[in-house]
Amino acid sequence: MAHHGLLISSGLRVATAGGTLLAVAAIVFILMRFVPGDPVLNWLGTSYEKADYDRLRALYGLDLPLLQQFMIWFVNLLQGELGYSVLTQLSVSEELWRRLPATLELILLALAVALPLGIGSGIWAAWRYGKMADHAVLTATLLGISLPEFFVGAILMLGLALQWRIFPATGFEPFAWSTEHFSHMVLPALALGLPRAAVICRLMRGSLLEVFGRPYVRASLAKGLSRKMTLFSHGIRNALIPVVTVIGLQVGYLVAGAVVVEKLFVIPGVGAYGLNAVTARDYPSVQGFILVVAAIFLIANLIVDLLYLWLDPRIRTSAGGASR
Amino acid sequence: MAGSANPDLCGGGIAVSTPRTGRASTAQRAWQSTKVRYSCLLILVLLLLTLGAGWLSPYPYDEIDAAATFGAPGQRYLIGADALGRDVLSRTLHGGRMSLVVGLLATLVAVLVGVPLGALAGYVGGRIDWLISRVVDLLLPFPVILLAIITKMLLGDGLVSVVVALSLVLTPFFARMARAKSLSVAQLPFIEAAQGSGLGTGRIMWLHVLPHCFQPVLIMATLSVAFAILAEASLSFLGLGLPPPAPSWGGDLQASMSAFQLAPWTVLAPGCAITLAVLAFNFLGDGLRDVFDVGERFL
Repeated sequence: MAHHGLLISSGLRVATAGGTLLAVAAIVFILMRFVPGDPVLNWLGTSYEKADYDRLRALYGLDLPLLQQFMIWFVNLLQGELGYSVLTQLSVSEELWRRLPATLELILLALAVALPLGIGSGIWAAWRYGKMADHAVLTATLLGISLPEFFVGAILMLGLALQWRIFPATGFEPFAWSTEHFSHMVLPALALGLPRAAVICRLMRGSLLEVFGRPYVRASLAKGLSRKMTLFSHGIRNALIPVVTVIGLQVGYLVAGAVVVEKLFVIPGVGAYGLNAVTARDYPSVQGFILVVAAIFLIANLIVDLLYLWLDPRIRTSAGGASR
Repeated sequence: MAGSANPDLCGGGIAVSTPRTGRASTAQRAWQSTKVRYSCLLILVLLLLTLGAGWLSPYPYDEIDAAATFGAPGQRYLIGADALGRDVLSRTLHGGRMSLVVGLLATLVAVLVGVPLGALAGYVGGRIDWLISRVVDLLLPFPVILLAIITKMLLGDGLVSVVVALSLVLTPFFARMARAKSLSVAQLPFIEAAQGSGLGTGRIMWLHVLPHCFQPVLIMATLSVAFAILAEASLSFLGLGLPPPAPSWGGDLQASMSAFQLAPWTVLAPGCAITLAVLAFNFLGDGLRDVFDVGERFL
């Protein structure tokens, strides 16, 4: 029964995520039509022939009725085709696909920094509650949540790249299992990961302290388990539940932060593409960018939701899928 | 609810379980905390410095001095000059005005929209609750940057589009918290008593439900000002804020990155200013949480 419930709620969550993505796609398409400014005019510049203008509008299907434009776009979307950039004439999906690995790698490396550091230091601070270590961690994380990613990156760059020349300051090497590649990723991953580690640490500490107040912790101590045994057998797993939920939201900040870090360290990822597209008012590219970011975010949240089902058996009921 | 943990923007869970006390005593209790007093003082200083930037800054923020390109900190330019020879101090003070105004305004809008909506959803329930909750669920996970791009394209470059984007990001957090709070309050006997004595929904909400949201809203509002300042700086850094001639912490820092080694003050001044402002509000939020949130622990 439990496994059956798990399967149903997992299925429900996958369906909800898919539905949300389609809703986002439709909303973005509609909103983009309300954007002031004409992308074709933008591309042609100030001097152009009326015939050229009409030909280009027809080429991009911009002269068709709105509903028809939407249908065409939507059918293409379902085939994984996001249209062509008004600016470069290149396929949006191919370009985004080419740039996706760098962005995903940056996000995963940042998580690899943030999760162990944040959860570890959070446990340590809660364990040493009220002592020096706790105060030190709290002060460090207060600073951590107050620093923007780009300033963390800038300071790391000044110290470790310009002053001591341990890592390269900017630039990018395509993915390979080489020190050349990873040395370029260390500073960006730290810049993106450290502020998230601070957030996760504070959450983990708070959650663990709350768990320490629960009756089952008192019961565990009363039946003679040591403090350390209680921490590992009852404390950490229960404290992780709210933390895992919030990590889903943190991924949203990671995606936004990745755009910032890509700009700072000049990494040719999805973010740089999106920013260029926004400045150029390149509709198809902006639409594609927003969809890819929303997809990364929804998939990450889906993974978190499934993880949550596994961590907390109480919500494995069929109603569990309804809320997100 | 899958998200029963009630996570806030950037800190531990808010679990305010103190009995209701009057607002005057809330303020008195808060003021006894050193954290609260110091952070309030810091925020006051920052507000005076940035809102008074017009009078306090030694030069106009856009006065170009070609002879002083990357001028080092000294007597003429207290903390140096930037690539165009503009005074970094004046630009930092003026940039702060934008950041703080955006942070406070976005939070104000989010509180005024989110809290009544959330409280209504929690207290009335039914279809209204369903509708509000779905909208909140849809908006909640939206990354700031996407909303900022959409509002920038729809509303153009300007303060309004940044404030709208940030309010849209913050509102669902307040709505969700107010909903959870009023849902629990609605179960309490005194609400039944109020209903029995013939009070209307509006009056019960105003007199008995909303006051219960006051403390958690205050904490969350403080933290969300910090979040909004940080987000505004990031958007300006990406070129999604006000366009260049206008001074902004994020934008100025970005513009100076290429000369970081040559003139570090051009990057450090706005960076430190952002950190200080965000720190002040986070510190206040922490202090308020310490005051209001007193739990019991066995381990």
